[in-house]
Amino acid sequence: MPPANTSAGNEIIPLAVTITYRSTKRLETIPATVLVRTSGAILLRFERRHPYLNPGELTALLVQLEEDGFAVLLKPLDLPGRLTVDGGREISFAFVARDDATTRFLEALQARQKQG
Amino acid sequence: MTNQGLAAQELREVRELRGSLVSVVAIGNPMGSFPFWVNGNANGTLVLLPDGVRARTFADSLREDEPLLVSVIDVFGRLQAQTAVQSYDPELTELRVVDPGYLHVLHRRGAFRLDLELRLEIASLRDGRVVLAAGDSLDISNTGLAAHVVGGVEIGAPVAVSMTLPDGPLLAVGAVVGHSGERTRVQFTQLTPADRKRLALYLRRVEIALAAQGNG
Repeated sequence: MPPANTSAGNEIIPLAVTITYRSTKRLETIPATVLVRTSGAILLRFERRHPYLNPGELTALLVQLEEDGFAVLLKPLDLPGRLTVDGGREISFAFVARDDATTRFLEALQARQKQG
Repeated sequence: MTNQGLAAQELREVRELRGSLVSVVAIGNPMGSFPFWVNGNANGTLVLLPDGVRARTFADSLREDEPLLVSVIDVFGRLQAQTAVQSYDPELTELRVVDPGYLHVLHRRGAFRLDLELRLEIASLRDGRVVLAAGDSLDISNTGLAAHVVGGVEIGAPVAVSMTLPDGPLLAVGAVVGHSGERTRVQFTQLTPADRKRLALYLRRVEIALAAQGNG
């Protein structure tokens, strides 16, 4: 995976994840890359213009980190996000719940990103 | 009974129930529960109006200081308070009891399962990859559901579950906590507060509709 080069100028080690969202009729999945993670939000990059999210529409992030699988709910913050030079899109998401599951996911994500 | 140490969400003020139908049971009395309307509360007294002949007969049989349980069901659970008889006026048909101030929320509904078939879509992690599957719910509660999932999902797998309620789609995440035959049980781990309330209201409405049809 190439190094992250975000429009915000952040330089971190990217991590591949999968986003699950509901389109107009069905549940769909789309690959994404975690670019920036904070305690309350997460910036994701999508390779294409997808996903066709609506404001306020929930998405679920499912990811396997080492031996642990995680599922957390996210809400898009800045739709339609930012277009990247290669035709992708960067969108910030907020964590919907601040509970043990989110905390464990953030800790695992941080550990994984430190490992590279 | 004291309210000290109980969180605010575990209590409801009695005055919020004015105009509501509640069930009244005499503790230790085998007569059963009887419907009463909450007329109001003031000066340490809660006034209840019996609904129907059987409730009036029950009220007339009560003794002063006889302990009672007053309960009502709302979307999140059974609310209950212990009280005691002050007096009953058969002419005004008013049962006066000690105002308990608050009713405690007994979280029965959190695990109350309603047999309900809804079309589901489930995304789960399998070998590090996300797999989409279709399914049908077998029962649903405020905290999870059982479903028949085409292809199955592994125990412990994190999942995203999408279902359509009458007022729109709902997306929850959870974990597979068990299998029994073709029944896969999912416990919700994350739902927004708004969706939690939507689901609770929907289940309550279905439950009332089923009860009205004699299937509850």
